[in-house]
Order: sequence, then C-alpha cells, then structure tokens
Amino acid sequence: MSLSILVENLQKNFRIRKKSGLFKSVFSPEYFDVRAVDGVSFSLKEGERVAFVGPNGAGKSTTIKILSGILHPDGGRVEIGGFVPWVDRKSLAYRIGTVFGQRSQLWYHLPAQDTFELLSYAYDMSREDYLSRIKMLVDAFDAGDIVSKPVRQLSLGERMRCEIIASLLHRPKILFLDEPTVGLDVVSKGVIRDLVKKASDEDGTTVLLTSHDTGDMERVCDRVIVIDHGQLVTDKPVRELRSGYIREKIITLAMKEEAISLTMNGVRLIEAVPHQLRVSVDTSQISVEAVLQAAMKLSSLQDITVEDPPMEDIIKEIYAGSFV
Amino acid sequence: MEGNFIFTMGSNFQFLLALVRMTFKSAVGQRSALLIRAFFSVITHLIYIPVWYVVFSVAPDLSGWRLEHALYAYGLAISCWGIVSLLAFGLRMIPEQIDHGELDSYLTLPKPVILSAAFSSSKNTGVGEVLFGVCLLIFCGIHYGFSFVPMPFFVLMGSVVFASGILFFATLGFWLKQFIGSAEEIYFNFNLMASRPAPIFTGALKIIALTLVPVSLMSHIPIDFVVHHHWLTLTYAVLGVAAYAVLAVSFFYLGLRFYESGNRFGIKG
Repeated sequence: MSLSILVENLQKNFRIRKKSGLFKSVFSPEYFDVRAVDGVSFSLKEGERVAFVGPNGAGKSTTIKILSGILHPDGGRVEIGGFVPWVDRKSLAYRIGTVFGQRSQLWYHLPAQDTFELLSYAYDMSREDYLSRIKMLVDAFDAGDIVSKPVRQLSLGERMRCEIIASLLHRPKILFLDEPTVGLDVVSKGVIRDLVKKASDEDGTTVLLTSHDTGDMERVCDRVIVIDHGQLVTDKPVRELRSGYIREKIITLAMKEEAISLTMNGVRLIEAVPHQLRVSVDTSQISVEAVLQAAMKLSSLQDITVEDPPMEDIIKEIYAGSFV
Repeated sequence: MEGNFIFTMGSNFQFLLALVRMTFKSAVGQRSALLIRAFFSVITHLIYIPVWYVVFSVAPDLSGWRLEHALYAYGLAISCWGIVSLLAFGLRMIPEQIDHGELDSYLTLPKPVILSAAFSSSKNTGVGEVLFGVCLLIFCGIHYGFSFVPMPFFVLMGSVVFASGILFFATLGFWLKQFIGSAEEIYFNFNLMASRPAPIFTGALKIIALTLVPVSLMSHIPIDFVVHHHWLTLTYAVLGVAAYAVLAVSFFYLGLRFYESGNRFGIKG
C-alpha cells in the first residue's frame, strides 16, 4: 500500500490566556490566538526522506503532531495514504512510527526490552514475528547490551537508539522524527543519523524529520522544507539548496609569501595569518576563477581549497529572508 | 483483522493485560517503598474505626444506618479507592499528563488512549487500601452476618463508579490548566462522600450523590440492597453505573480534541 503524504493549507492556532490581575484572570479571562501553523502545504512521496527545518516556534513540531494524529488542526487537509490522521488515528498508527527527542515512550524504571514487548501487544504482533523483528533490530542497532538495562541507567544516545528501535518495531511505512538528535554528542548524532538512513534504505520507509541540526538534514535527507512563523519558506532538494542558494564560496590559499592583499569587489577577507589567506567570494559579483587568477599573479600558491559555506549559514540566511 | 470488532476487543484486552503487567513490574521494582507505604496506608485507615465507633455510640441509629453499615460502606469505599490507585492510578494523573504533554506517545499507538493513560502507573498505597478494605468487608461478613456473595460485585461496581468519576473530573484538565491539585481535592472528597452514611445526603446533596458525584451507586445503594433486597433499585444502579462510565469516557474523548500537547522535556516512569 502506497503511503504518500499530502498536506494542504494546514492551520493550527493555540489559544493563550492574556496575563491580567488575579481577579480578572479568574472571573473574566481574556485570550488571544497564536497561529502555530499558517497555511502550510507540501507533499511527500513514498520512500522520500525530508527534513522539516525552521527556527524555534516555526511550527515544525505542531505540524508533525498533526500528521501523526496527536493534534487536531483548525483548518486545511491532510491525507496519509488515504487516512486523515486525527480521524483515522488508530488505523494510521499501525503504519507510522514516531520519535520525539524531547519525550520518551520508554518506561523509565524498566529495561527497554520490556517496553518493546508491550509495544508488540499494542501493534498486535505475533510472538514469533516480534522475536525475529526485535532480534534483527537489536543486531542492526548494536543494542544487545543496552536493551536489558533499566532506561534510567542509559545515556541519552543509548536511549535514543532504543527509542528508534521502538518506533521501527512494527515496520512502519512512515517515520516521524521530532528532533531525534537533540542533546546528543557528535558521535551519537552520527550513529543515530546512519541508523535512520539505513533503516529507511532497507525498508523504503518515508522519513519526515525535524531538527535544528543541519547535519541531520545533510546526512539523512534528500529534500528540505523550511518553515517559519507557521508558513512555508522554501521546499527544495538538499543539493539544490547548495547549488541554487549559495552565492558565496570560501577560498583558502596557502602561499610562499607571508602575506598578499586581494582587494577586489565581491571579495571579503575572513582571516589572514602568515602564509595563509581565507576569503569569502560573492559569486554574483566575481567568479572564483577570477579571484584565483588574481591570487596567482600576486603569489606562488602552494595549496588552494574552495568550499561552500556551512549548511548552517545557508539555513540562517533563509531564516533571515535573504534568499526568499 | 483491523476493524473487526471482536478482534479489536480481544487485542485491546491483551494490550491491557500487558500494560497492567508492566505497571506492576515497575511498581514492584521499588519493593521497600511499596511495603512502607502499604503499611502506613493501613494505619491511616485504621484510625477511622474508633471514630465511627464513637459516633455510633452517641447516635446508634442514623435513620436506619448503624455501625455495621458505616463499616461496610467504609470497606467498600476504601477497597474501590485502593483498586483504582493500584491498577489505574494514571486516571488520577490525567490532568498532569495533559499539562506535560504525556498523552503524545499514547496517541501514536493503535490502542485506546484511555487504556495507556489510565493503566500506565500505579500507586503503592493501593496495596494497603485494598488490604484494609477487604479485611473490613470480611469482618462485616463474619461479625455482622452480611452475605459475602455480593461483595465482589459491589467492589467491582464501586471501582467502576470511582474510576469513571475520577476520569470525568480529570478530563476538566483539558480546559483548566494546572488542574492536578484541584482534581486531587475532588477525588478525595469523592472517596470521603462514599464512605459517609446515606442519611446524611438529603435534598440537593442526594441529587448530587446520584448524578454528578454518584457515591450512592458505590456504597449507599449496595448497602440498601443488603438490608432490604430491592432488586429493582440495584438494577437501576447497575444501569446508572454503566451510563456514568459511558458519559465519563465520552467526556474524555471530547476533551482529547482540545489536547494541546506541549514541549516539556521529560520522561515517563
């Protein structure tokens, strides 16, 4: 069964109580609406891996919670393989897996394997199916030593591996991950990213991932949707975000001369140390080739590195509206 | 098999058993706390016995209620309170689960949210309460000659009323934030009213005790039955219990539409 995701003009407001005096707040409270999701539309094909990116309060988690049936929207349309999440929540739950980085589905005082067993009942798995599936996942996630320890004794990275095992137990067609690497160290982040990608590659699982970490986006996803203030800002393949949006290159030159001066329109000095120069080039004003030719005239170059700016900077620019 | 009513009920029941096993496993993991709290819970309730004794020494007959009826009512009320605390303490915590966004993980499971929300935690004082309540009922049976036969049924009926009442008031947490403290007060008063003699409830209080806070269904009508054997009244009471349970569950699912989740960092336990 194909499980594509269709979201049209999705809207969600939260009603917030205005701050007022004690008497007024009890007997005549006033409220105002905060628009968390404001007309977001997008679609996902089966097997796609999409990053849902945005600053704090952009509406990422709210959107994921609507898609997974947790929240009811105030307007718009969502269909996941023909199911409306908040109407067909239970039917959809057999087909989706969720990981909330800020919240756990594991029982704190018990080993993770107990939660897995409970989930096998929740998903109506036969005993044989459960045992073979859990063995496969524990091996794949190299989690043999950690699933038998009480969850309270696990590190955050170990816990997150168990969370992902729990979410993949019933072979979901779609995996929603809400900040799965929040709070993790670099190594654990890498492990989680690789595991999610591997699971998706092997089972064809569609992945929708929210994160503040552009590494999650680059290592796991093929496409990025950026939202801000509840509205869609951009929706592009990750590689196009680099090639289409980057008008800046970083050039690092190593040379025999102690110092040279590259004063040209569109070239900005980042760092100058003896025998090394690092500049930023605005490619809309001057080409990288022209800058390199000028540098070669001024010095004997020993090494040249041309880099894109970090993805984080690109996302920052998108948030700032420079590329819209 | 999905969508087949019998399969769904069977699978929900299996999930419920697995959930209760997990809850007990988690509670038993803290053995010393369980024993200490159970012991002190028994002591707390024992204190009420002399109180009732003194009250009925002064006024031996309260419109037909005597000491044995008060003890029977107290035994029923405490057993029901203990069973709900032990098996479904999560019901009492629903306002907190709402405030902390803890229903998220239950909502992504293909099972009724109410099962996970209600049966995912246990309060170990429940052991003491069940123990005390059952002992008191047995004492009433042996000492005052009340039949043992309907007792398990009354305890079951009362537990359903009490669980439904808790669910009904806990559901207000979908609209009233930080409601857990107020909800606990209501639950406590619910329990308190159930253990008080029926003749106290007259006029508007009687209407409340049969509708919004139906403590009469928990203790007053069962005791009326053991004294007068009014089968019709008991039948109405059973129907009332079923209606109240349906109302409470429906009210919860209505409230669930207003659930706002949240982003509180935390872990369930």
